[in-house]
Amino acid sequence: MNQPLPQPSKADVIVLAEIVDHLVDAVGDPSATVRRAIMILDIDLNPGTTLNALGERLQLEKSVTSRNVDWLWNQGCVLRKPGRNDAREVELETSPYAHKHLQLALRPFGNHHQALIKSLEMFIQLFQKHMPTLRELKAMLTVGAMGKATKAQVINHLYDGPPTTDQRAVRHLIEEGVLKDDGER
Amino acid sequence: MLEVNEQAKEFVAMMHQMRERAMQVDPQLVIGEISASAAPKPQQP
Repeated sequence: MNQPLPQPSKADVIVLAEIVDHLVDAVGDPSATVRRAIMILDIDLNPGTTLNALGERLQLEKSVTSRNVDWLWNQGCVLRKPGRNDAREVELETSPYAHKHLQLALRPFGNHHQALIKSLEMFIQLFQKHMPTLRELKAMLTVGAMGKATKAQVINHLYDGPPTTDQRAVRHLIEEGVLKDDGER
Repeated sequence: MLEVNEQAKEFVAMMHQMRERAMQVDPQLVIGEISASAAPKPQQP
């Protein structure tokens, strides 16, 4: 049987939460799904990649890959360029702005894209019902850093979005069982 | 009061450990070692 891993210190968890902040800056929206963060990290690691290659690496259906890349392109974090070998193909790369923020996110991971991608994939595995967002990852890490926290404390550490959006993120985490609510205030 | 569940605690510990090792060693080793030994199991519905 595997030994449980030692729990990181509060400061160490805060570093992880700051990585999420940089990912939010890179994609420009805390409501972005963690999958979209994985996709932009993969594109950053493989500049000039194609939709098909991206989908194959991440084992995503073509329609899912295409829809999410459209979203990233609309956000201005991904650039599309004609293929160098075949002009019918479109090559993808991160915009300079997104790349800069991804570099900040990757710095605490020694600039190892794959290690951060793997971490994010593991976070997705905690969810049964829906694809988590970066806001939910930040909320979970906030509680992780504090040990115990009220909903208001968690929401105070989130992004300046509508309170209902932040409350929904916390509710999702409780519904999925990622957070436990003991009912005390 | 909110608290993270055991699987989420395990995830946080694993992400931290992956980060620490990524700072030191080849990332393929990091991914192989940790994900094989301590990946969180999906919750049963």
